[in-house]
Amino acid sequence: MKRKLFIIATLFAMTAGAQNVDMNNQELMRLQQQSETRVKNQQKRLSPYDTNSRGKALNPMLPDCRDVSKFQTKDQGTIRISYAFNAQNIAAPKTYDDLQRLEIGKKFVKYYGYYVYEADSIATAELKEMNRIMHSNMPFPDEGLSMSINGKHQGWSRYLFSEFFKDLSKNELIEYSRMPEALQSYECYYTEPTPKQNWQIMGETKTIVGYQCQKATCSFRGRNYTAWFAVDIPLCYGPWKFCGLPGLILEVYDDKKEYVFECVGIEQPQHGFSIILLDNYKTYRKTTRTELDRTLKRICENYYQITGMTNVVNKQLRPYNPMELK
Amino acid sequence: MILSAYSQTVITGSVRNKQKEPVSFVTVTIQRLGENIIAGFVSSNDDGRFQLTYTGGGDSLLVSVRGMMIEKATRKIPNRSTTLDFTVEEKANQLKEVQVKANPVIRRSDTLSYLVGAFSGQGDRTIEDVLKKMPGIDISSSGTISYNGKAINKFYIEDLDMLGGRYNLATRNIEAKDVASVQIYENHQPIKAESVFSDQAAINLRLKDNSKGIWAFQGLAGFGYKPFLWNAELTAMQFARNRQHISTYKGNNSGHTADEELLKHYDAGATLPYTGSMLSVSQPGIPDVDKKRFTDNRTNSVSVNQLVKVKDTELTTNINFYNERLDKNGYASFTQYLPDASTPLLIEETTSNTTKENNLDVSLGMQQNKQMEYFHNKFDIQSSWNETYTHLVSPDGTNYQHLDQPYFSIGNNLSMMKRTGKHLLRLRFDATYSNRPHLLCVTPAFYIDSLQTVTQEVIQKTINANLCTSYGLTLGDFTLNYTPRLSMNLRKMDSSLTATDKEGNFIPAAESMRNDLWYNSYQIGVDQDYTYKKGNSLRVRLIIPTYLSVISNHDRLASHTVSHSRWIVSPSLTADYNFSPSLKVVTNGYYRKSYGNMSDAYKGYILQSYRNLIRNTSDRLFESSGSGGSLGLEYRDVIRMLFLNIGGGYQHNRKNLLYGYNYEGIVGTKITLDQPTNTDTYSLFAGSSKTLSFWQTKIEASVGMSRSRSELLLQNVLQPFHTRNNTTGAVLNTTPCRYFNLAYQFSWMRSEQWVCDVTLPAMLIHSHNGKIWIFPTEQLSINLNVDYQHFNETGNPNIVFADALIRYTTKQIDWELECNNLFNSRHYVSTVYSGMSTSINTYQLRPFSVLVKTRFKLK
Repeated sequence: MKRKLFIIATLFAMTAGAQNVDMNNQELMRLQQQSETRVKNQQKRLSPYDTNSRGKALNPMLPDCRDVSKFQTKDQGTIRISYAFNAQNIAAPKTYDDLQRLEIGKKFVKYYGYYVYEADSIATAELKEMNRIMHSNMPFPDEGLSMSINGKHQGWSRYLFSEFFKDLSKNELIEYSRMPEALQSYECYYTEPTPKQNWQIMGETKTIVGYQCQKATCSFRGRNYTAWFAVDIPLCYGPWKFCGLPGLILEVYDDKKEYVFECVGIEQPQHGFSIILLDNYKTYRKTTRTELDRTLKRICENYYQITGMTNVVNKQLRPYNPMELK
Repeated sequence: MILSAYSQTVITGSVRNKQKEPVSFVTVTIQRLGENIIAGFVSSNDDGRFQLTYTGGGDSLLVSVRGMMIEKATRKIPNRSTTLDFTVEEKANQLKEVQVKANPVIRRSDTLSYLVGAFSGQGDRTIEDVLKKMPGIDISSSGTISYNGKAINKFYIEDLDMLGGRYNLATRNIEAKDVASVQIYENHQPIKAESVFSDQAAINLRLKDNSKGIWAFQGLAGFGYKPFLWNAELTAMQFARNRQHISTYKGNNSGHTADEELLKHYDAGATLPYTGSMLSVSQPGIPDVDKKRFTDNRTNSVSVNQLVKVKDTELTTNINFYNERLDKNGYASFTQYLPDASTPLLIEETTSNTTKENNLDVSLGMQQNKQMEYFHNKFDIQSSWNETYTHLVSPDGTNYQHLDQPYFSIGNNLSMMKRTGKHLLRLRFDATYSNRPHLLCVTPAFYIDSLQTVTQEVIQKTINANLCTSYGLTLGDFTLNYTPRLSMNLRKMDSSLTATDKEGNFIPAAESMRNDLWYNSYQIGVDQDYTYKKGNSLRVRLIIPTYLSVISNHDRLASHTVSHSRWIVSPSLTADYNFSPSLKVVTNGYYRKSYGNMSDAYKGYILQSYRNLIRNTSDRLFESSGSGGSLGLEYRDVIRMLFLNIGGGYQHNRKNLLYGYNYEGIVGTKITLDQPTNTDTYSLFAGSSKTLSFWQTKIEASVGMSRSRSELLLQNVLQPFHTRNNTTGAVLNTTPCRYFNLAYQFSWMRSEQWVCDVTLPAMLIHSHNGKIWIFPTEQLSINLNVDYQHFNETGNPNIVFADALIRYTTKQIDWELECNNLFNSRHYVSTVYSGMSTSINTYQLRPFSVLVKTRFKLK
């Protein structure tokens, strides 16, 4: 009897060994290397655990990647506009805080950060590949799939991680607010009637990406903005919550230039594209705009206390400075 | 600008379509006539109604209705309150797409992406034109693409390799505007299951979404003078996700030969490469200028290529056929300095030469390239019927030469691989058969007394088979591969040299003029292959093929057999180290040995060309060995778009036999001397390529140097022989404004030789090529091209060519007017020194010609 048990144990050990063998295969090694590189890149960026960051003001930490393979198609998009968010040099995507996309459909208009979406997509593909090779079914989030985003932004920001949906039939705007590392349980969304900026059209014109643009100014929720819109693109949309001009907004910034959006691409694919809503958002709590503003202010000012990261080297956080001051 | 001082004008109205249905959510704007600044705007509501208030001055106002789905409508009205009803045409508006100034080259780990839009200009039609402008990428005149100085090992379209090395078909037919980006896969290992590393790169074309899946048909027709010129092309292409197709027909007599497009750059396939013939006819030396300047051709070529992907299996079919006639006319004078004779041997020949070629190549391939499994099978048939006629005139006499060189080859390549965890198993089997019954006939043989015609027949049949299985094991950072190998190469050669005398009597081949032998070689052994890979920074690979080589030479005339057997070990080591993602050091070293060569095995005379007889005079087995090493530094900075490579190499070769010629009159006889010789070669090179955002400029520069020391055999005397070559070159391509593009290329070469410490005259060539594109409008492109070459050692040292081209492009049709050789340069003279001989070649060029072409889309 004992002997039989020993044989079974050996068999088990061998099966486990076979799995290890699989682990060693080339593709997995490549995936692991990619993950390692990503983690290394992430570490190179300022992290509160890194002594190099001492004395520097940081943002809350990037969250782990999420699964973007499961989604619902809300609408068929026809036009996609790309904006550089806070670019130092629009010729160099590495100097952007983010590359953001405005996707326009018949019923929905979506605005989101593309660098974040790109990082999630790569991680999703990698996890899928890893699961396929190992015949496993590892779900998100995974420790190995920590995020590294293109562009110069350090850490988390609401303006990179929130996705905005405009429901044109209901004239409503929904913001899905994704939270920084360790605060996934705070993730929430709110709905508000599509905000309208009270634009003043000015006489000045300039050319942006080949389109003749006209200047307009407004004051919106505590900041003064200047926008440049193209009459030749008869679409009343723009980046973030901006809209309501008689042409697409190709550039918009506040008077302190703390938030700058510049158009860097216009596409009108022949067969269109899908405007998607991630299934991930089903777990988001409903809240209100003022409630979310309050939560985020608390998170941004007390990130380490809230998350229990008491062992960090650098405790200095950037002051909370939202676009909407009221 | 506050305009409230004026009285209010209120415009109300509605927007409706042709069916009188309301059009909602379109923008209605108002502005003062003559100003392009909008003073007010509203959106039409659900009923298509709007109300606008205007408070500015002016007599007249413009009210416009705009929307993505309607045609813009504008009305001029007087500045007073009124009602306006618009009826608009429904139409989907297309925006002018923009892609702003993204970095033209992007690196993501081992992949570099070049955005085609950032490099292409109005003068660029095919993707090859744009590839030439990309930093780090070079294209030779034959179409070979190299990346940072090394030829690429794969060419993919949407990650599929349909053409199997004949990628000129893609680069010269796919239009640049259909390609979104060009990707470089660095260190590309085409077989996914294999873990050895490669230091070569591959290219992948990413097509624009709009160009995928659709069939594109294109045609070209052109006519010209002088002589009467014609040019015709038809291409059909489709690139879908699981199906790719390229078919072309090309025909012309304007200087473009079939091999321009059908040249295979890698993947020689299962058939033995066509190595030409043992026999040759007198032909003028080929000029070192653009082929279209001298090629007098009549070419028809057809290529059909198809790839179908079913699940993971790729099935490829490639059929290529061409029919070509080439005419060559020239004069050659050949001077051979003989050590013992005071007067050098001088041979002068004027030749006119016609080659007719028919070539058919069919290959069928099947491939499964998965992470854990690989299967590949390729079946090839190649057949050609080539013949050449030459009419030769020399001061000693005149003759006709006819060379018939048919060729047939059939073969199959099978390769399988399976990976289970650490272990890799592989099996390969190749088998080929080829037949080359060649015939050379010279009449009259004026230089041999009493003979009218000499006929040399050589029939060579080859059967080649290789079988190897291999076992690989990955242990952490180490990969080991052991490949037991068995190969067999059977060659039969049958030759006879016959003649007819002046009276017309047939003279059969004497024993010394005949050969009939089986020259077989067998190899059995193991290849050891060790790879060490530390992360992405260090890679080392050691390969040690060890095998026993058995050669058996069965002379059927003398009915005796000689056998030799030798152990051969040829280790090689390559290593590369990445200091950073942009800086890499590459080094390699090797030692190799080889034995035997059929050209040393036969004893009977063979008339290789009308005045060269070959025969072997040594009984020794030919042995050669070589060793060498190289070291290189590669730097590629994507952000700065700077690519550099610097390197050097050393090679030492040793042979136990030395070949040379003895001359009796103009007839040279090859002799073999039992004399070991050594050749040492050193080389150094450096190249750089940089793209500036300023004026979209690409600059390239390169320098090279090589030295060699060896020995020559002439009239049984051994002579030390040294050579020294220095080269330098530069390329500039710049676009100062959208109306103008300039490309300039410069190369300089100096070559020196010493025989017996006597310095032969140095050869110096420098050439310049300038190409200017002018674009007066978006439709019209004008191209001027000037080539200049200078030689220090010929009768007419300078030669200049100029060409002009005017292209008019519309959406469906391109018109081209081509003027070639504007200065009507008729002769090309070149001098070649080799050892103790000098040959001066004069080649007849194409005259001034005009060609009108039209290129049109059929769908």
